[in-house]
Amino acid sequence: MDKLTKALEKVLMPISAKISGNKSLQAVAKGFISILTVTLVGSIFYLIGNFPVPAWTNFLTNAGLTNYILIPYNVTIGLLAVYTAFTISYAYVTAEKGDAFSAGIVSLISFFIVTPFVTNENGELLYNFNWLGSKGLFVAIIVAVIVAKICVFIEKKGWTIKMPEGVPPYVGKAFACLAPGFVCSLLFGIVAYVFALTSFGSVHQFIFNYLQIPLYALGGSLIGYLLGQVLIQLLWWFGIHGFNVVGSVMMPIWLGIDAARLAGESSSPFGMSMMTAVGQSTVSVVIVLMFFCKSKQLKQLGKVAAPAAVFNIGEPVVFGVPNVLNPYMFIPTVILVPLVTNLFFYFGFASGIVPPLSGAQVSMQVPVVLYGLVQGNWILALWQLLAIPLAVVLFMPFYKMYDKTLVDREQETESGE
Amino acid sequence: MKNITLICAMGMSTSMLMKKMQEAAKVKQLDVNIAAMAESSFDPGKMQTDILLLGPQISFRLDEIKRKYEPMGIKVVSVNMADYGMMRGDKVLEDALALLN
Repeated sequence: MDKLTKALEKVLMPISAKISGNKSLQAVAKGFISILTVTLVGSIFYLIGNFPVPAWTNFLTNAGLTNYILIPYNVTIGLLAVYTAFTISYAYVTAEKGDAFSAGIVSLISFFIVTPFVTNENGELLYNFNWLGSKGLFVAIIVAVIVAKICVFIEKKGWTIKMPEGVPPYVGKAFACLAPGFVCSLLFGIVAYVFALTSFGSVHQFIFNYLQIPLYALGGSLIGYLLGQVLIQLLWWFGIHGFNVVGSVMMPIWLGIDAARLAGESSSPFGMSMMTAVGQSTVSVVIVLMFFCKSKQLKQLGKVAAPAAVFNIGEPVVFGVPNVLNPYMFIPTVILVPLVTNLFFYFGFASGIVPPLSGAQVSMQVPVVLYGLVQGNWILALWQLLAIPLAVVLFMPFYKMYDKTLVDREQETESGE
Repeated sequence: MKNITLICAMGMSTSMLMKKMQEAAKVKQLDVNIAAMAESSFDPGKMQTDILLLGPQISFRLDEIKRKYEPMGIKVVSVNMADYGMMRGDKVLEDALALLN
């Protein structure tokens, strides 16, 4: 076991550091985190507009208000790709200490260049929301990263129009993004032209068919989702922030599936919102620590960790028990509890007992049960309530075993004094 | 006046430790400035920092973060795992100040 642990650690640590340190993945993750407010605002209005009380929804429909209440949703999550096109490029260039704002704007321009628009019979130009929402997410990510790299490259080479002395710096700055703007517009103009010649018609359709659909199928399958969850917990067992690593790859997929479900384009229950609904069972651990453990250390930790656990913050437990590299905790924290609790929720959704998650995002820090209620999903709240004793029972034997070793040690030191 | 900045993945758990450290500093009447945030929002230009404390959950990135900030004269260390778990603000504060002297 010890050897295996060391060998795994040797592999996992550098890979995790590489993934978390990768500039592009970092920018994608940061870009997504910075539009969290966008998705939360949209989600709130979606939940208000769809609150499962017939009297309320009927009132909205009769008063003709439904469409108005859903406007914030439509222009936030419905335009998700537009926001990410800006934020990802912005995050990348910020980290490189370049002109981030210009890079964000150039990325937006480039994204719109590859996004097809139509001309209606009046000769007006129209964009379809189609590619501007979750369906265009991957193109937005790719365009944003490429644009950011080009901007950084050009800025480092110093290919800017140098203004003579005496020109106000503000004016000089306006010309600074001219070169990246021109290069990127030309590049993506060519991309748009080339794809228009193919049977796909646009780069969006191509990426959607050959990248987004396969990735959604993978990350949105039971196996893919569970693997992701186990991997997150495995990393935590090594003391690595699991979501920080796995999320920087999976967040676009899991958030994208949620957004697709909101738009009625996907029926996969797996995504960010399922992950946050299931949670990390921290509350259950704290219950075990406070009421069923006898050692001073774990009892004390239970008290320290309880307020954090209510808001689904697990670090005190992870490092205080510690779960990290603790042989007693490998089976329950990495395999047993994540698999059983996730399958318990999956069973709820698959059997139709729990109404499907809309895909609306609710903050991870909303306490369980309340989370279900905020989602407007009473049965989900009930499911979360039931999952607490379920995880308590699963954790119990392992924590009791470990607790006993601590009690023995505490007695030894006491009698030693 | 010493400036201590705590960083972790989201800035949640470090903000809890920050509170405990601030309480400890108040009791001991120490002149320190303690802040906590997500690693991604830390900007040494905006946030004067003498010592940067990493939550153990991101200490697997210690090398990378050290390379980034030590040339700027910021000390970078990760918080002891057990102290972090038990939220021992006084102990973490003491260790950090000891490193600065």
